[in-house]
Amino acid sequence: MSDARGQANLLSLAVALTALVSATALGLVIADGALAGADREAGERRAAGAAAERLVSADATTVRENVLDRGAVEALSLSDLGALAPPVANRSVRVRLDGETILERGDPTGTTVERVVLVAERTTRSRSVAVGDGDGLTLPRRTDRVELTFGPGSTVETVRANGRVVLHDPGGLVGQFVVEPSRYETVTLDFEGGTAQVGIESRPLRTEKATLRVTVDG
Amino acid sequence: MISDDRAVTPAVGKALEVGIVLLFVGVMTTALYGGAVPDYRDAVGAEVGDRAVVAAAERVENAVPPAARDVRTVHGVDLPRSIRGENYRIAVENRTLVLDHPAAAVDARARLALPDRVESVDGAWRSSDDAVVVVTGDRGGMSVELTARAELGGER
Repeated sequence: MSDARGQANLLSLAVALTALVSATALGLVIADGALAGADREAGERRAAGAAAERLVSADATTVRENVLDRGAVEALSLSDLGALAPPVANRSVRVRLDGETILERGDPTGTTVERVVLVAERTTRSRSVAVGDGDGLTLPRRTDRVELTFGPGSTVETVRANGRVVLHDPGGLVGQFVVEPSRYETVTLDFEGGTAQVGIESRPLRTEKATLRVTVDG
Repeated sequence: MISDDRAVTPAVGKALEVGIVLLFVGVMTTALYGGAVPDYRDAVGAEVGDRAVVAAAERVENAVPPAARDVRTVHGVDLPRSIRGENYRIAVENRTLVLDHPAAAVDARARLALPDRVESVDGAWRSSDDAVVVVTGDRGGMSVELTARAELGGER
């Protein structure tokens, strides 16, 4: 009789302890899940962000801030990228510009950082025109550098760019000159004072929008 | 006789129960504080350390202004007061931010991506400091220094 009563007490104790153990185990499982859910690849995200940021701001790869130089970017090597953005030096990385893969090491599937950029390509346009006194000439694209070559026998005294005098020689302009107009407006050249055969070489910057994607792993 | 025997039973039973509960509490405490809790603290500390160093590295990178004739900037950096309950240092080694923490599990480093015009990066932060990053220089080059606001004195 007394044995049975003692066992009844111990049994309820065992049940209570079992309940406590399961509650603790459940708590640990939930904590594990929360910890796994909070795991972020901080270094990986930073590497991708830093690489994209450096690509669009470094002098070596850009014409100006956020405008990529297509030639320089396409000539970029993995070691150049590592020097530009040290965080990606030892990681798998892929750099894509509008779907076209420029650089790849390994097969990264991690964080991707996207930046909308302009891609600039320098083109050279040359032409030769005969100008007379008072003639105007509008260059088809905006440019920040125009090279004028006046042939021998030129009697042009003054050249204006958008009304502003940029070249002047009362004895007649002969030879090669560089004019640097504003790149923010279309330039119109006015020739005054005489006639000449002028070679005009402009270097307009052709830009187009693109998406730069940098994917980094590890 | 019979009543004597029966009087002992509750005492023995209670003693047994108290013993079992004490044993249980002891085993649970040992299991939690000997294994699970330090593991979790290590894991969380490592994660917080990673993020603190990455955030600090981004702050240092953003503190570098464009090339100019005379540069002097001071940027505050928000660091956690302690990681895994202990103070720590962040130092620069070879253009890399390195977290120096007493716990072996908390270990993080981040290489800095800085423009060529930055010639030198040095200094260190203690977690108890009000951390700032000071950039000085001119067109020829800039230098980045990690320091405490208290060490700047009155100048900002």
